[in-house]
Amino acid sequence: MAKYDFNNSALVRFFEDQDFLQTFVNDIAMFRTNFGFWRNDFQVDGMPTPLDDKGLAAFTVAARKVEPAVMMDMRAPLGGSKDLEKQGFSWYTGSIHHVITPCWQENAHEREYRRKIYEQFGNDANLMMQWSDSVQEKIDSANSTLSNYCAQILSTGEVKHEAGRGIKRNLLKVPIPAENFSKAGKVVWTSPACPILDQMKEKEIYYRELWGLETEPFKWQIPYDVFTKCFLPNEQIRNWIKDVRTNRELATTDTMPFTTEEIQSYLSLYPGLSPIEIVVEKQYDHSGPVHGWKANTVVFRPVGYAGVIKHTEDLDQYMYENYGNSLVQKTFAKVGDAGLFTLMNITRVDGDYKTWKTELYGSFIPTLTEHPYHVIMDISTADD
Amino acid sequence: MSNNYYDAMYGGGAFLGAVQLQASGEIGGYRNVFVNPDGINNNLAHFPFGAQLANPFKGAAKAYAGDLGEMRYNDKGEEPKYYLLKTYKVKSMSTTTVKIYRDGYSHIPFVGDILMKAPDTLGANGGKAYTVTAVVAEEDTGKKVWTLTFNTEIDTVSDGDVLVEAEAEAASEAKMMVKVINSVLPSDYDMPFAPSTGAGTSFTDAKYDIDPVMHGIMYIHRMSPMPKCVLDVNKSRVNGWYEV
Repeated sequence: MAKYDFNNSALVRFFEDQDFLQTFVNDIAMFRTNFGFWRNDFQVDGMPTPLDDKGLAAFTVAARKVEPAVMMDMRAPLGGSKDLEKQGFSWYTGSIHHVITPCWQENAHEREYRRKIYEQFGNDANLMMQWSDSVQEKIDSANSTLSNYCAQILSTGEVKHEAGRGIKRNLLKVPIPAENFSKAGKVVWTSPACPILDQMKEKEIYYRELWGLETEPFKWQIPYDVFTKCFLPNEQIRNWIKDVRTNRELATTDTMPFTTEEIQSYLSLYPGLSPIEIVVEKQYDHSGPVHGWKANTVVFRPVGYAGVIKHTEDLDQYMYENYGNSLVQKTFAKVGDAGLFTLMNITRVDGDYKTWKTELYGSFIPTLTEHPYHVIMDISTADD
Repeated sequence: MSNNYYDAMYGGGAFLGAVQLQASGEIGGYRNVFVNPDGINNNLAHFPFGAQLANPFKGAAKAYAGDLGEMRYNDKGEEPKYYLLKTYKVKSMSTTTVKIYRDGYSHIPFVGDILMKAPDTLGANGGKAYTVTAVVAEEDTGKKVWTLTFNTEIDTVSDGDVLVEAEAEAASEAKMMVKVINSVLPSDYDMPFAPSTGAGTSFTDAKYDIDPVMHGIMYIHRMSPMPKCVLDVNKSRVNGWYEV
């Protein structure tokens, strides 16, 4: 005889009691945001994008374009003024697609087998733990998908879904001006002799003058692999650090190693260069680890959030609540930051028995809201 | 200002005057295509992932409840694509001109469509397949038709024959685009956005993601026309019914 009644267990309640499920997933101690790279640079849009009857969840993003103010015109007394051309703004539209994680599923026989295995523990804690781990895995899957999208849009201006086992295609292209796609400078950054700091400064001056944004805060975003292969061995950077240390009467040798933190700290002293942020991101697909950030690419952009995450509703809960079969039971709970993702537990009929399935789905895509001032630089190709 | 892409593309701009415009039309009736037998049915079972419509219409068009199609996965049951079975029932033919029936429940033909006479066996090679270069909606002996003009004469077809989509132009042994019937649409699908592409590389063309269902029993006479090769794979043994 079973030591506990499985049908009264918490795990079963997750599939039958929606409030109980939502309370459980709301407990911040239960589920974490791993793969949270996207949170550094993007906010979730406060309002969802409506999904219209034609299946389209479309949004529009607009950004002002500015040019530097020019000096005054000299005039004779009582002379009038001449106008300047008015500034426009850049806009684009996009639409939101739908994604779903791999599911967790179990049939009645599999569940009975597991119950017998765990019966010796006297409660359902291990079954719950296994299911909770699978939910954490789904939340990780959703966050890593969003982080992959965000890394792509920051480093390429485009979002593509090329991961997973379902539909794959291009999703969104931001109209970043062609002049914002830049190259390394005179020398590719991968050369240890490249005057990286001078070239970065030159690019920064060029773009600030182009837009007239001399004093606005900007930053450089450098992926970790570019930092390690280009910055750590770079002669100009090493000489700069050694000079600063010598000036401060700190011990310095020609071959001393520098930590990442030290390099960032000394580079912040280099005149005329905006702060450098090292980007660390990685996700996992069925093929292994992948990066959304394009290789050999750095970004120069305004400080602050790069854009917002647009999101829309899915049909699953609506269809179930309005037209659901009484033999199928579904519970739904919002999970993740700002409730971006929806956890769905399904209990279905299969012959004389039940089957259970847990899925997590969402509809979201990042957008750039500073795209006229977003510079993407290929550091492996020298200027023409 | 509307945030809807469709509205933005067609409603952008400003005019400091007045516009007068009128339109009229009819919302047509409907017909139930599905047989609704007693008992617990298991027809509304969706495929994993769904798929992008790989052969979308080249303009604003519609697919119908009960339309058949092929969900095509790779060997692992992954990376799906969906191919809608588009069919056009012939009224008459004269060299490169073919008239097909236009009754409000038919698939809409477009310039650029590559069509062929349906092969004898589903999935087998057929005859000639050529491109439609003109489509005219008109009447012919009291019947509404589309008059299609092909760039080259296709195989001889006559009243009641069915044209289907081909993978590519061919002078012989053209390949029918849909090779297996394994899915059915549970409702009508309106596809007003164009241009539309089946390829995943365009950012701006409309892409349609769709998840048909795996099973259905339909009344044949209410379905889109079907060639013999599709009727031959009917699972139902009831006269007048078609089962996927």
